[in-house]
Amino acid sequence: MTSDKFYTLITGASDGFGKSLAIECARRKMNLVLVALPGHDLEYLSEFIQKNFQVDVKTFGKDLTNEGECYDLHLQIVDLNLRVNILINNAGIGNTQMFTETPPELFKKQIRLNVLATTLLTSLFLPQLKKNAHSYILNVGSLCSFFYLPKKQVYGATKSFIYFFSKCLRRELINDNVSVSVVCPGGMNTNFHVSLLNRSGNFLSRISILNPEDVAPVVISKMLRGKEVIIPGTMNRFSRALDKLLPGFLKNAFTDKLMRDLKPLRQASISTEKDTSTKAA
Amino acid sequence: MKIFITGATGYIGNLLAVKLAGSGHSVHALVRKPSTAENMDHSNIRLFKGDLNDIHSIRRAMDDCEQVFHVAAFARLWAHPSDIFFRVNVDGTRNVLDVAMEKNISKFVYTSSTAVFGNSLNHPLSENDPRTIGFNCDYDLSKCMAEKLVMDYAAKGLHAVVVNPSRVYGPGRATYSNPFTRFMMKALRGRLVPVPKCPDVIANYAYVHDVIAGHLLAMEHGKRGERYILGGENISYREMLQTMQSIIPAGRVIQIPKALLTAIGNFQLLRFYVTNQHPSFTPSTINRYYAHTAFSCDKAITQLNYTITPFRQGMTETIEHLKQYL
Repeated sequence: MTSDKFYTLITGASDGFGKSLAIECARRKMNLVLVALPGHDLEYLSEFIQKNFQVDVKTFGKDLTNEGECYDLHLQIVDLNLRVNILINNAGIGNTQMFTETPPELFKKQIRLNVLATTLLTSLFLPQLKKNAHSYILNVGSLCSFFYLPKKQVYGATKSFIYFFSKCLRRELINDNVSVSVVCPGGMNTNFHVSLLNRSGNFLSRISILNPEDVAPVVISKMLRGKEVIIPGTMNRFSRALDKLLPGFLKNAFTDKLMRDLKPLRQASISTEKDTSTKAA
Repeated sequence: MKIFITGATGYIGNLLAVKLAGSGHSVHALVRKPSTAENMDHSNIRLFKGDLNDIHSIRRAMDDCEQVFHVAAFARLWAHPSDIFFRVNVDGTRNVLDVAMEKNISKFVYTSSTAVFGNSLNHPLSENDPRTIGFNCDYDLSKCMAEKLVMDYAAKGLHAVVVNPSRVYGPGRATYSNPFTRFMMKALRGRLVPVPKCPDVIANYAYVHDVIAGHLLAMEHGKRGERYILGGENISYREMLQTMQSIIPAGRVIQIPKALLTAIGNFQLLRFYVTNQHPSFTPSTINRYYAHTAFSCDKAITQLNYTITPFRQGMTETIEHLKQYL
């Protein structure tokens, strides 16, 4: 039996931007399917949301860097007859590191999660999304996919993939009532690691930093209005505009300096972080 | 028993040190400037000159102690460079934890803050609830990181317990962490008390004596690796002001809209970049006063036997106490 309830599926929901998106969707009375690495955080978030917003929340502890778990997730959701009408591909691994210093394990995982899981989940859920009168796909890209930044080679490339993929898919699905949006956030104060890193930037990059709880409401309303590319924050839209105007050598000079300055304030302070490579913008 | 304490010159730490000394414990207090340590002229309190970032001074002061209260923190809302938040609150905490491990301390209580939770939404927050907002504020970030460190050491075997006091009020040193006392003094003197213009916003007010008792209860009954919110009643600014004005009829308040405070904060930031004069607050630090911060103390009440003094009673006692300084 299929219930008449709709669900918004959010990956990487237990922390950072995913958590803010989950809270915002719940505030809008959407039922949620939350996917994140298994652990207490996801359960606590689910309890918190149900207590505060009286929506239905289902949680799935999955490691989406593992292809098999993407298939499992889809099968379980089909078995439970959960009707997904909004798919938010938010899970991602970020890092800020020279390529030669990046262990292959890290960029392999990054590609599997940011690229493969996003593509695969979209493919698996698309037939179901098409059945609804209106469905939405929101892919989380990054502002850095517009800038060819050192220390962001693989990450930026995976986010460029997401951008390209979203824009093409949007055109394919234009007649299927599935609206595809891609959000390209700049820096946000999400987890310990990223928040510390954000504080090390220069004045201009620091004032462009946003808070996930402020970004999420804007992003969800723009997604629901069917906006194609969502760039949150005036400063970020300004840099995007500058990017189109400035000659290459000036852009490189500016961003070279920016990326050189960008170091965690205190390396020692973050040594307790269980995963220093969690979601970054 | 010998008990090591940090932050004994601060609001909570001072009252806690005096209380411990009064119950016959020998208190080893780590202080940066022994000459300025007020209210600690008690035969049971021994002052050790030191600093959280000097691990040798912590070693000397913690020698022979059985228990540790790590209360000290850089409790400001803004600093430049912001590094000091992490140096004191995170690296300092790591030093205290390391020495506690070395010295086989039997029990450790860390004073965190409800600032680690962020804002509440439709229900009071409790210990397992997730942080609802990002890390815009350096203080919040550093306290979260420190709390995580304490939990890591607890997992490694240290009998560490975390307490999270909410907005603390009541008699005690008029330090930066005790704005309530300053505001009540203003009200008593008939001067205008500034309050955020959002009468329905709810916050949690913890009476300082409850918080001190909560620390002792956490030391006695707290479970390793658990945290306990030490708060009081959840009340709106409107209720708070009504209570204040019923006790101090002459008390006058001025309600400040968020936009004005944000503008002043921005101006102060700008002034800082020009004249290097430190802002008293910045836009990123005032949000907490305009959003709900309601907390539930049920866990501390059921597991620690924590008790809450009704707000009216706590206010009455505080104001009676303050009148002697008029």
